[in-house]
Amino acid sequence: MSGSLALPEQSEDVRARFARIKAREEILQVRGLVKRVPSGSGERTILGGIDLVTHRREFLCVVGPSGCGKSTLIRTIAGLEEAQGGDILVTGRPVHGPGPDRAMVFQGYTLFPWLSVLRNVMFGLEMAGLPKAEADRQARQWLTLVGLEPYADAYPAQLSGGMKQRVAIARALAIQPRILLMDEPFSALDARTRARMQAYLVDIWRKIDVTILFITHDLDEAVLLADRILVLKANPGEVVELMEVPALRPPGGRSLDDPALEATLARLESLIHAHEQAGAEDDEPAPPVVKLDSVGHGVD
Amino acid sequence: MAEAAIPQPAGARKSRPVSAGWFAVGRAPSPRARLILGVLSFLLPLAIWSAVSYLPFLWHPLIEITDPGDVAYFEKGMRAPGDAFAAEVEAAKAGGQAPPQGVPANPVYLPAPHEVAVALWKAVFPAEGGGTSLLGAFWHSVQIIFWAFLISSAVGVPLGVLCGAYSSIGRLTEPFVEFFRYLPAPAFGALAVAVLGIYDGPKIAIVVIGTFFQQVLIIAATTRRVEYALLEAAQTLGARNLRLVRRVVVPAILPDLYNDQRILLGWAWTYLIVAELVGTSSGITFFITQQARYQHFENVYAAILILGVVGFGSDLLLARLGRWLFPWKATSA
Ligand SMILES: Nc1ncnc2c1ncn2[C@@H]1O[C@H](COP(=O)(O)OP(=O)(O)O)[C@@H](O)[C@H]1O
Ligand SMILES: [Mg+2]
Repeated sequence: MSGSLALPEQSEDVRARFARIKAREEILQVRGLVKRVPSGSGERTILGGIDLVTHRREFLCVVGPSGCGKSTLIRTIAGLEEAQGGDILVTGRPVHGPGPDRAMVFQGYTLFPWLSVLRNVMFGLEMAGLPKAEADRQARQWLTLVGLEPYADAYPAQLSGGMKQRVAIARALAIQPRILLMDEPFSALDARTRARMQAYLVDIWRKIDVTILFITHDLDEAVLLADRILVLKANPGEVVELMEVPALRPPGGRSLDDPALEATLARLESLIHAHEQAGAEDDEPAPPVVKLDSVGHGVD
Repeated sequence: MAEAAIPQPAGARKSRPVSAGWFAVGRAPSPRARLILGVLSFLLPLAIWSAVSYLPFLWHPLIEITDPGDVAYFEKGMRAPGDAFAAEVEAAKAGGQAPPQGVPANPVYLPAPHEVAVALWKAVFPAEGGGTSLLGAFWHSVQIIFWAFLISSAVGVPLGVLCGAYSSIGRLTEPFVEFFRYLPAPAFGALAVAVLGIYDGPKIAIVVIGTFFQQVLIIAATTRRVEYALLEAAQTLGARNLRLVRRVVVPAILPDLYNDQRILLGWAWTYLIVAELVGTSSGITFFITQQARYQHFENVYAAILILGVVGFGSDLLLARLGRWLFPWKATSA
């Protein structure tokens, strides 16, 4: 249906990179995941059979219209919710409840307000039974990685939103999960902070051995961050497409000016738009649009 | 403070109400104004009390006899109704006898501020071997409260937290507790005396009964208000079961739990007054009833004032202590 907006052919380098990624072991396997919730007298299907595989050290983004079940998907993978059907395997082991092979960063700030920054990062390590001195040492290393070592003794309430999410990332990574689950972690931040956080995250991800499953409703963000992008539709939540972003990761980070990314973005938009019209649930009236070419001349 | 940084449009300043000082609706007064208002809220009642006590033309319905004259049933120091006194004066004059003399006075149950102040002074710095000790009675009451609150909290707080954290425990416990809460604690007086004797045992028991059941319900409700996202975050970091309760639920609710305890302590004091009348009367209540029986109302007021000052003062102190104990809460506000 979106044939007119096909992705550009992958370059030699990009193809080689995806070949390398796919050759790696599979960290997360989701097969036929079904999630239903009671609704009125009957049931409502939120996720109608999701299939998904991520490879080691892959960065996978999930996008889709609001209410399509992105949070439900990631929370089920985290073990915070139960599925009604299908399997979730992490490094081959089935998921029953939360576990140290998966860590999560939430959209809201979920740092423990009564613990200092350092003690927040130590929390998971202490739960894993590490002696305090060792937990302290490791936590400081993770804080250094996110650039917040100087704030080790501050309380979360004293930090800005971006800093809080950096601590949350350090806290999640400290338990050394195989996969980091992130549910719209930057959507509460202002645009400038968000851009900085995206760069931070890619930087950290390149330094350590972790796979990232990153949910966002911001298509720009998905295109800038992801190796592959899983596009979902709503009612019920189903996979529309698993898209390979046909771009490398230049040292300074990706730019939206890259034609390959522009094309990816256009395709994402058309996919989501098509399905939003198909299953419009909570459609807001579209804002009036003034077409630039109808104004006649540009601003200069 | 932060508002200063926001540039305001030119017209904004003009639109502010001119008299936005002390009587602006819904606006918080400045710290200085708050202090002044706070002091005034105590000085105003004191001024009214002083006026009624010291201005002879305000109220003063009685006449305190300074010289009984020839009236047989008048004595020096007794207070007679104004019209009865006037009638006796008329009668004495008509009969050629010496008329009684007197000054306007208030009823004995309204002593003047200075009389209460003297009583307070004597209570705090008693003369050697001087009568019943207010402070001694008060100290006895404090001990009853201390033990009762300790016993109630030792069971009530953990049980409340468990009821809030585990809905199965809550469902098992709370209906009965809810029912028991409606049974008036003083009704258990006779039972408590039968079981625990006539001294401090039944008094402590009644304060415990009055406090405990409220405590379980209030603390369970507070525990249920814990932010669910924090519990989920902790679970993804490996916290489970009792460790989740101990390391996340309890610290998360601690400031609120502390405030609950402050309020419950205030309630415990109100049960004390009933409890102290059970068995052999004791403590501050015994002191008050006894002094009232002898019409030493200045001592009654002194005792009530001490109760108020200690209650109010300790609550202020506990509030301060709370801010010091939970700095992470204060910084977020
Ligand atoms: N426990 C639940 N009970 C009922 N409805 C739910 C529950 N969890 C999620 N939903 C519904 O499922 C849909 C998907 O929610 P969510 O996963 O949060 O979407 P997204 O994160 O993509 O915006 C929403 O319509 C939401 O109302
Ligand atoms: Mg969501």
